[in-house]
Amino acid sequence: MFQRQISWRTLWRDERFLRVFGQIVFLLVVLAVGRYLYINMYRALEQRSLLPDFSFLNTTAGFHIGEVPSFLEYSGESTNKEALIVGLFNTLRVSFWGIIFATIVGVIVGTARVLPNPLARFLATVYVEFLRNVPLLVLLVFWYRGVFIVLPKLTENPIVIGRKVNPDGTWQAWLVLSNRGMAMAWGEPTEAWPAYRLWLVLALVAAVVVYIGLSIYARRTGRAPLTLLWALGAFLAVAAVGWGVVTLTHGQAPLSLSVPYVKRRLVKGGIRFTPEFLALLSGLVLYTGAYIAEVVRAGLQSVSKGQIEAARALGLPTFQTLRFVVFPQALRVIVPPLTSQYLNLTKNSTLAVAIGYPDLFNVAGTIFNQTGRSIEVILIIMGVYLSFSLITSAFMNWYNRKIRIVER
Amino acid sequence: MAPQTQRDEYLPPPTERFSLLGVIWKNLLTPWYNFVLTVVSLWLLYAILKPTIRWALHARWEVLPANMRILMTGPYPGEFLWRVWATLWLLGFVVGFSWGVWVRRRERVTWVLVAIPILLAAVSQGTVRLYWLGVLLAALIGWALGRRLRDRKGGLIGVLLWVFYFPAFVLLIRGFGLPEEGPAWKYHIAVQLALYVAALFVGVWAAKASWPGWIWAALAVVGLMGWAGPWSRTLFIGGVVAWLIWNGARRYAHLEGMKRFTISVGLAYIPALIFIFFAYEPLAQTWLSKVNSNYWGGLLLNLLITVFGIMFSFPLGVLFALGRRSSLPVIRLFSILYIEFIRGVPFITILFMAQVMFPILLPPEMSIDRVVRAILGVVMFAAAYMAENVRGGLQAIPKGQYEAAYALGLTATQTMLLIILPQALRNVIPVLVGQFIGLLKDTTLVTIVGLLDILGVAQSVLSNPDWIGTQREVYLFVALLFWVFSYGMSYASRRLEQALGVGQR
Repeated sequence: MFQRQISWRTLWRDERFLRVFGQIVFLLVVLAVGRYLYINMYRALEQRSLLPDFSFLNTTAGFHIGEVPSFLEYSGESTNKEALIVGLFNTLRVSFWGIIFATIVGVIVGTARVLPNPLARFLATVYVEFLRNVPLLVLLVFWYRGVFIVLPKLTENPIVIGRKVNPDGTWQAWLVLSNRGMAMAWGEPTEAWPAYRLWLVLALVAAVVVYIGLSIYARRTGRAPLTLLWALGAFLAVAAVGWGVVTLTHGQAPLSLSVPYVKRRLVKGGIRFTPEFLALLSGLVLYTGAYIAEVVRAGLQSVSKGQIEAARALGLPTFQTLRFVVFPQALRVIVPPLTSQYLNLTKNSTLAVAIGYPDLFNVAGTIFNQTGRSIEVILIIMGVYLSFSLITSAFMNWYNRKIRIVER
Repeated sequence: MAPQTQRDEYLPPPTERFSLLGVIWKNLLTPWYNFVLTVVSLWLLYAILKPTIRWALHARWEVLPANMRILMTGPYPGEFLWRVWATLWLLGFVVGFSWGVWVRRRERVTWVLVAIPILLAAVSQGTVRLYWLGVLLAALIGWALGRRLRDRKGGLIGVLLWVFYFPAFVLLIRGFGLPEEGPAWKYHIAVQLALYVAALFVGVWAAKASWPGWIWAALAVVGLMGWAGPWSRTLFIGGVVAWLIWNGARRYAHLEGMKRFTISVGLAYIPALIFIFFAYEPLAQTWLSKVNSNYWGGLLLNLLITVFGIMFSFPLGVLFALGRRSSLPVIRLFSILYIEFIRGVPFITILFMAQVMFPILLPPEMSIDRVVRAILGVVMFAAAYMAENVRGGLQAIPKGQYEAAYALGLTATQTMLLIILPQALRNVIPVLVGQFIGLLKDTTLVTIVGLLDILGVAQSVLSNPDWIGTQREVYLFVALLFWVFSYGMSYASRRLEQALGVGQR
């Protein structure tokens, strides 16, 4: 009769046992190291009476923040939590504009890299090859210290567009660029603005309705209307009608033009940007733009020439070739790395700390210096950036599912 | 005459004409949008170049030669500056040797490389000029040697020279010296022992392996040596020991397990002990004494951190990549969590965490200094990205390769090390080099946590009242310096790709 002997000797040669055993050992080692580090940390923090505790969030921050979004209140008496929220919104603000401008720059330069015009191609190549091989921090510091804060002073000879001197000695301009930052003419909400906001919501609804309607139409008939363009048109049309209606009923336009004017050393009116914000934004845009250009170029080049020739042979005009053949295939290649570039831009905005723009990391660093709460601060920062990443990768997964080539 | 007319009916195909005017007309001026593009480009070129040139003619470039030493080496002690130069001479030698072995055709790059030290010698003065000529001389000697050894193991020696160049670089800069007396010794000895054992296994294993085993052994030794951290003593001895074990074990490879083991240990320890007692201490007290890491600075610090980062994050990244593809759930989950966590947060937060958290997480007697903490942060960060890149390479290997290896009777480890990884890594060379470039660029971030790398030094130069207002000159110089390094690396990787035939098989 076959009898199975179980002894250590046979067990040691059983791969199934070894796999489980090895994992248990690994887990134990990880846990032991973790416990060791935790005990050390606990002791060190206990000694300094800094055991993890988030109540510091509700104590007074007591430091100044250079720029605060207009919809938030922040003063010297605000709490650390409010300071962090200001920092978070500053991060979001610079990332938002950075993403938009970097995309514009990237698409232009990336397209120029594949054009037949050798001069444009050369310029684009120089731009990409230079920017991609220089550290972002050097670029940022160069922009800030070498360009933005050494611009002419307001009292000397600032860079202006459309300057006009008023009788009382002040002067105004459409755009003022000095060592104090930039000010630009901008629409300022008037009393009619709240009424107009309703119209904007209405316009949005109209755009969504048009979008959905056209999508259904496209699916039923097999035609391909320019859905997004029509939706945008609907939005603009309703917004324009609303503008007229509100202006007539309220007697004033929802936005009035506010032109920056300069009184000695102060700029007022218009929309104003600090040199820190400008340096950070332009550095991030130029740097990420170079990477996006490469992404765009790779996407455009990934569409094989045969596809374009086939489209031509079928008689598609240039625009339709681009819309139905080149873009859908190029976008499939472009979007995933593009999203990771957006994420990189957001993460790179932490370098703001080197030039004094109060983003989340900068504010958190200040709080750490004041309170000594290392673990809590690190947890908060990492939590925020991790959730950015997770949201982005969730989007990516959704998108990848959506555009996956349908196979048999 | 009939055939004549018939021939005339078939016109030859239109030939492409290459006249300068024709090219300009075709690419720059027609159709209308090309013309617009040309005008816009020319205007851009003019708008950028004119103020730049005007500024460059009036810039105070004298700030650079006046501060060159501090920008390059920071507070590195002047009496030991020759050691920094020695790393350059070694580099010259290794590059020259590689050229002699591998570059057989005439290349324009050769002249560029030769021109660099000559040019730098021409613009410098005094001893510095001699030092640069020394680099050239070392390169020429290396080249001559490489040519002679071209057909006799030159390639292997070349690879090993590159592999060992980096520890030698670190060693020269850091020097020999004992760690301060105290409880740290305990850890020191433990690390050293672990290292010996690891080197031993690598050596014994390498003795059984075929030629890729050599490279793997060398890489593993370099990686393992790294774990000793600040104790470069271990680094060097570890290298010698591993080499001896490996050589010894090769010779006795036909013997059975325990016997081979004993012989290897004997062979390895005796010279190591001799080295420790007779050579090591005198070295530490004279011309190769220790330069503490708080004296590392300038571009040197950036390069050191990069070298450390590459050396240690590479093996670690390969391990995490394998872990992520492992069939063992615990290990896979651990790798995924680590990689995704690190990749999800900005680099500066990792550096910040390394500076702030390591002193808290470790017992007080195991204090690590700032530079090493920064290096650990860099390694932690780079390993996660490295892992993802290597994983990309691993995924591209068809299943048939595994099956063929198993069919030949190779074990799982052998399959991985001898069949899969060499192919996977060759495929990801461009990506890895891209990452190394990123690493080099990212080292500038240590200036934010207060280290004196080239940016930190630049800031201190700019706060000197003599040099106020020279930000553009200094930062532009720094940017160009990084550009040269990064571009050089990506150029070298393209050549390496061609040589290894990436994407052609």
